[in-house]
Amino acid sequence: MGRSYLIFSIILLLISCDNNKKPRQYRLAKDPLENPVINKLSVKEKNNFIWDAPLNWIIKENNSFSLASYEIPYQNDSADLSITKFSGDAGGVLANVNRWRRQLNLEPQTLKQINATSIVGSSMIGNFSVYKIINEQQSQAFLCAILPYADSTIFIKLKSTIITINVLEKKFLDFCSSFKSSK
Amino acid sequence: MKDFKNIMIHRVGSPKVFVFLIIWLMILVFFGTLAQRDQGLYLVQLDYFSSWIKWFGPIPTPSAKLTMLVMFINLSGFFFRFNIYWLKLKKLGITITHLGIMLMFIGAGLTSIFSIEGSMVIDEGEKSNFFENYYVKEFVVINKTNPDFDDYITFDEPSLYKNSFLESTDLPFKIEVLDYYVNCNPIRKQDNQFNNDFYKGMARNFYLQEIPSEKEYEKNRPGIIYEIIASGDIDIDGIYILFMGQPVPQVLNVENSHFEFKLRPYRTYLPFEIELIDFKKEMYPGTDVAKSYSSEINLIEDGVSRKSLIEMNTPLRHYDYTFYQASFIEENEIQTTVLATVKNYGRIFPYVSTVIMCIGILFHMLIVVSRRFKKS
Repeated sequence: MGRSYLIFSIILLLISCDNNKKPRQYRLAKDPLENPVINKLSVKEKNNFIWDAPLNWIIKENNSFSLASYEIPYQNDSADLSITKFSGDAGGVLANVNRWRRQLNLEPQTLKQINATSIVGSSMIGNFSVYKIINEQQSQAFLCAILPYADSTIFIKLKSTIITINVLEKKFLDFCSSFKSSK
Repeated sequence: MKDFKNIMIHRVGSPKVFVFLIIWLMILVFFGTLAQRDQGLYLVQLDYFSSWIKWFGPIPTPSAKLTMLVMFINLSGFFFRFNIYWLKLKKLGITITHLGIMLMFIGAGLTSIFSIEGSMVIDEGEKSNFFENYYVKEFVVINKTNPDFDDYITFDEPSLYKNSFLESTDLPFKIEVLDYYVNCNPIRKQDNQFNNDFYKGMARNFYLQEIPSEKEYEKNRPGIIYEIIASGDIDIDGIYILFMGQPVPQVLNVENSHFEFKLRPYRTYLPFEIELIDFKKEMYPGTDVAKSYSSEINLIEDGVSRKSLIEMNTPLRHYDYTFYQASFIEENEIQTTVLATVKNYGRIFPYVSTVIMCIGILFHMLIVVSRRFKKS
């Protein structure tokens, strides 16, 4: 009786000491049930995102393609920033970066060359890549960010002179990382 | 052996010990109830009732869990008396009552160790096959490489603490937890950290700031800072952050495998699905206060579905699971039901033990009364 009682007490203590350190592993079929919250969010918040723009940025009148446009004054110069959104990947990184390069009369590059000079940042709605495109002969430059969001892609483009772009680069990165869900 | 029996009967099993223990339990319940006002229900439950030791300042005292374990051992001392003693007719009522109380403690122990509770949230017309714990979280690494299925590796909250390693033979890298916060805020970095390649993903631009736990524990937003080690790719090795409710989960591509990281409420999968057909609510006239609400559901198991209605005081019971109509959400013209879900192996114990105790007390009263009659 005494021994069995002792064994029972030890088992009880051992059960109580389980520290759950081993990972649990299981396999589930890919299924809409797998992550209904995220799926729901991606549908509901399709257009529901906001950003923080510095107070000295001047809001410009939108054209039909852009979500917003700003004029950014810097000394005697200024830069133009536009935010656009297209469904899907809108052609992907290679096609878009080379399109911007062509706008600055530059030769197209391979994806490897483009990615080698890109910067990756993050915002509350996802990671983004920033591409700096410079034409030194024309003294013109673009700073462009591609931010995939739900089933669409947000493009943020800053264009100005090389000097102004270099000065505004940090502000641009901060601006891109300020994107967040409006809820 | 004889000494052990004597100790069990006269010391451990002494009724005086039981009286002290029950008084101590009352004290714990009293102070625990008061503490709920400031600390919230969950933390008090952990501190006063679920832990082994309750610290009153620097003084360690037995918590309710330890007290009840000692009470159980104390009551079991009754059965160490010589065998025939507790089978004698005049003691039979007391014996049955002891059995009833011990059964209640066994039920409480089973509930404490094995029960799981949480909420199941289903939109009208949608299905779900899991419920999520209100308080406990888990860190999940999902291997999404295969187009047909996903492999989940989940690390429970107790293993998420500073400098702990999360490892699995199925992961081509190690994860070191640099810090884990019960409640935190993601804050955008002020300084330009883009050049620091050691911070990856969300950690490039954000850091987690620990904040005090909310009184209502379920409102906390936990966060984890972790480092990926030895993936064999310097672009992947680095420090990452993840917080609950992060809009975009952290993803990694390692050796042609696609991994996703999530910090989410502890999830329990059911062996069946529940589909919400229709959610109905009745309001008090002229107010926004719900009078009653109910969920018409389909319980789908092995491809066979059966209709059922879950109402405020009529839960659905299936296997060891009970689904209570707890709440609802109305957003963008979509109605969503919230079912409080409990899996409790010890559910039946309180009912059975109470009946046994009643029988025991009744039996004992009858014996005592009949003896009084005989004497008079």
